[in-house]
Amino acid sequence: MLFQSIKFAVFLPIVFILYWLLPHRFRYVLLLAANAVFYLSWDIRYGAFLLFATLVSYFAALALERCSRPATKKWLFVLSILVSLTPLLVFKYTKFFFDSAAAVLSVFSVRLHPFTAKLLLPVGISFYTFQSLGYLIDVAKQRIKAERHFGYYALFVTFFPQLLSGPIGRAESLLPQYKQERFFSYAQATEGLKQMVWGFFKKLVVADALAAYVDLVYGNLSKYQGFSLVLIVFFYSIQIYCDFSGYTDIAIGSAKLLGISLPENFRLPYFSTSIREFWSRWHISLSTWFRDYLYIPLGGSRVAKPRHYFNLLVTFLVSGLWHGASWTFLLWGGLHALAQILEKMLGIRSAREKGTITRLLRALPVFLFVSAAWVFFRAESFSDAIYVFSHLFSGITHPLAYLKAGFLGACGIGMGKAALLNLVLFALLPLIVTEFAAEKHIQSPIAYLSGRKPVVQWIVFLILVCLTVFLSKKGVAAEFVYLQF
Amino acid sequence: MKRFIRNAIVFVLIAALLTGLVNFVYLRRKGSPCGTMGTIKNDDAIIKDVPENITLCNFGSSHGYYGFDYSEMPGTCFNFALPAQTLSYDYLILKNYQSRISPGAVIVLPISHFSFFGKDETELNDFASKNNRYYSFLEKENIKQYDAKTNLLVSYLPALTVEDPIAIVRQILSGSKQENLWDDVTTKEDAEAHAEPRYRNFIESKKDKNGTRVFNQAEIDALYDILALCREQGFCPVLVTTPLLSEYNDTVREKDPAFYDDFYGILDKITVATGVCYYDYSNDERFTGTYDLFFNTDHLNRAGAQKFTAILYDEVLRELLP
Repeated sequence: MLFQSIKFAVFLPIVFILYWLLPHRFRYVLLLAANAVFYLSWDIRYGAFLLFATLVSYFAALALERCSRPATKKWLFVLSILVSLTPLLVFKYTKFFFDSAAAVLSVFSVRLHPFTAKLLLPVGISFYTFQSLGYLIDVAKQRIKAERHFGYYALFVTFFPQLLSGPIGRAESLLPQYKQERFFSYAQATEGLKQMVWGFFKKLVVADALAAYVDLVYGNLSKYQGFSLVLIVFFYSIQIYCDFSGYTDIAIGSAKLLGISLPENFRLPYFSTSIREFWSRWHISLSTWFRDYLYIPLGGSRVAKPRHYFNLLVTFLVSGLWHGASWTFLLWGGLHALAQILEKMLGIRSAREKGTITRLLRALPVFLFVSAAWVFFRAESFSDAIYVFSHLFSGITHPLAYLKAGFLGACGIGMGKAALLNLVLFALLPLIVTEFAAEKHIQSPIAYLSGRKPVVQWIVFLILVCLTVFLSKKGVAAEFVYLQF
Repeated sequence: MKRFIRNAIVFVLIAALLTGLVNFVYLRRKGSPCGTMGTIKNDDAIIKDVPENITLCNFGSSHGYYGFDYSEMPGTCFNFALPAQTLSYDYLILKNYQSRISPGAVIVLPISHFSFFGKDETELNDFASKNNRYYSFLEKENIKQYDAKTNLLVSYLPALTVEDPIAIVRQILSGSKQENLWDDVTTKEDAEAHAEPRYRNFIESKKDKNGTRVFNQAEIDALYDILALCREQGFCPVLVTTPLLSEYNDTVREKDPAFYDDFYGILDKITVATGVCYYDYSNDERFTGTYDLFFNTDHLNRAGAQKFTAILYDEVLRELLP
C-alpha cells in the first residue's frame, strides 16, 4: 500500500479512530493487524520474510541475554547476525556477487553462465533487517534488555509508517512508546497532519514533476547533452531529496497521529557546509546506524589517521552497497568517503554561522559535490555516469544557445514554457522559500510554518493541499525511490 | 480528540470546496471542444457532437487535427484526429463510431513520420494524462487501460486532470478565448529553428539506446486492423501524409536519410498487401516553401488546411466519395 494511494487514505483514518477508541492493552493488537494489512497488500509472500526477521531477532536476543558463557555468546551473536542477514544477502546481492565474480573470472578466461534467476526482493527488507539487527547488537552489547513480549517486539519491527523506508528506529526509544499508554495530544496530531501535507507536497508535486524529466533523460541518455544534462543533475538532487524526505514526513506524520515519535531523518541537508555535516542531516537514521554499529566498532576516529580513514571508507562503501547491489552505488559511497577524508586532511570544518550569506556560500560547493555524486547513484551503469560528466558542457562555447537548448531546444529535455513556469512557480518556489526560511530560523519547515499565526497556517496548508490535488499525477502510482532499497 | 477531528473535517471540507469551486468555474468557462466539422481548434481537444451519416472523415495525430478543414466541403464531414493520437487509437475511435459513418464513406488516414516507430504509447510517461481525454467520448471497451477511478475523475472533476494550473487559471480568466495556434503563421526563421527539435521528436526519439530505430509492430498492426474494419464496413480508406515545410524535410534528409527507406518500406508493404492507396504530400511544392500555410514547420494553419483539403478533394476524394 503506497502512502499516496486511495487505499491508504481510507486505511489511516480507520486505524487512527480505532486506535484512540481502544483501551491501551488492545492497541498493539490493532497495530499489528494494521501492519499486516499494510505490508501484505504488496505481496502476501513478503510476509514470510518479515516474520522470519522478527522471529530470528526476537529469539536470538532472548538467547543472547540468557547466555552466560562469553565464548558461546560470541558465536551465538555471530550466528544470529548471519542468519538475520541471510535473506537480504541472498535476495538482494546474489546477482551482484555472481556477476562480479563472473567478470573477474572472465579475465582468466573462465566463463560462468549468466545469472538469470529472478529473485523476489521484498519491499523494505533493507530497512527492517537493519532495524532488527540494531536491536540484536544492542542486546548483545547489553545496552538494552531483550524484549519478552512478542507482540510489542513484532510491533517494533513491523510498525507500518516506518516499515517500507524507515526512519530506522531504535528499540531503546520505540519499545517504551509502544508499551506505555499514550494519550491523545492535539498538538502532536496536528503537527503530524501538517507534516504529512508537507510530505505529500514534496513527493507528489516536486519529486514526481522532476522525475518525469529525469527519467526521460536517463532512459535515453545518448540523445541528450550540454545544459540538458546539467539540469537533470540538479533536478535529480531535488527529486531524491523531496521523494525521500517527503516519504519520511508522511511516515513520521502518520506515526504522530498515533502518538508515536519516530526519529528525525532529514534536517535541510542541502544547507550543509561540509560533507560530514551533510551526513548528519541526510538520512540521519541510517547514518547514525552505520556510525553506532559499524564505524565506532571499527575504531571510529579515535585511532591513528590511516586507520580512521580506512574506517570511513569501509563505512561508506557498505552504506553504498546497502543502497543497491551495483558498482555505481559502491562508487557513490566511496566518493562520499573520499570527500570526508579530504575534508579531514585539509582541516575543513562545517561553518558555525547560521543563516548567513557566508554559510550559504559554503553550502554551495557541498551541494555541487553531492549533486555530482548522485549521478552515480541514479545512472544505470558506470558508462552512463561517465557519459553525463563528459557531455555536461558540450556546446558551452555558445552560452546563449547552450542554455536555450537545455530547456527548449534541439538537445533539450522538451520542457515547454508552461511546464517550466508551473514547475518553478508551484513546485520549486514554495519548497525553496520554506526551506530557506526554516534554515534561517534554524527550524524544521514544519516547526517554522507552525510558528506562524493560525490564519496564516490554515491558508498555507490549504494552498499546499490544493496544489497537491491539482498538480499530482492522478492515476499514476509513482513509487518512492527508496522503496527499491 | 473531538477538536482535532472537527478541525480536520473543516480543513478537508474547505479544501474540497475550493477544489470543487475551481472545477465548477473551469467547466463553466471551458471553450468549445474541437471536432465539430473540424473548424474549432484548441489545446483542450476532445471529440464531441459526432454527426450521423458521415460521408468523409479523417483520423490521425496533430497533422490530421490541424491539416483538414471541412467547412467548405459538401456532405457530412468530421475530423476524428487529436494531437499525439496513435494509429491504435484511430482504430478504437473508428470501432466506436463506425455506426455513424455511411457505407462508402471515405476515411482519410494521415500517416506521420512517427506513426510506425517508437515504444508502445502505454510505456510512455505522458500516457496516463493523454489517455484521460478518451474517457469523455469512447466506450470503456475502446479505452486503453480503462479504470473506473479515472472515469469518475474525468467525468466530474476534469480540472484535476489538467495538471497545469496555469492552463486552468488561463481558462478561468479567458473563458473560451483560447490561444489558437491554428491561425498563426510561421516564418522562415521559426521554421529553421523548429526543424531540428521536430526531427528529434518525430524520428530520433523513436530509436533505442544504441541508436537503432524501434519499429512499433502494434501500431503497424493497428493500421492493418483499420483497413480490415473499413473493408468489412464498406468504407473507402485512403492513406495520406500531410504537407511539410522544406526545412523539416531537409533536416530529415541530412540527419537520417535511412529513415525514408524504413518509413516508405512499411507503407509499400501495407499498400501491396491491402491495395489501399497512399498519397504523399510531404514534399508537395505547392506547400513546402509557403510559410503562410503553416503555423510551424510541420503543421498546416487554417489557410493551409483549407488549401490542402481542397487539393485533396480535387485530386483524390471527389472520385471516391459516394
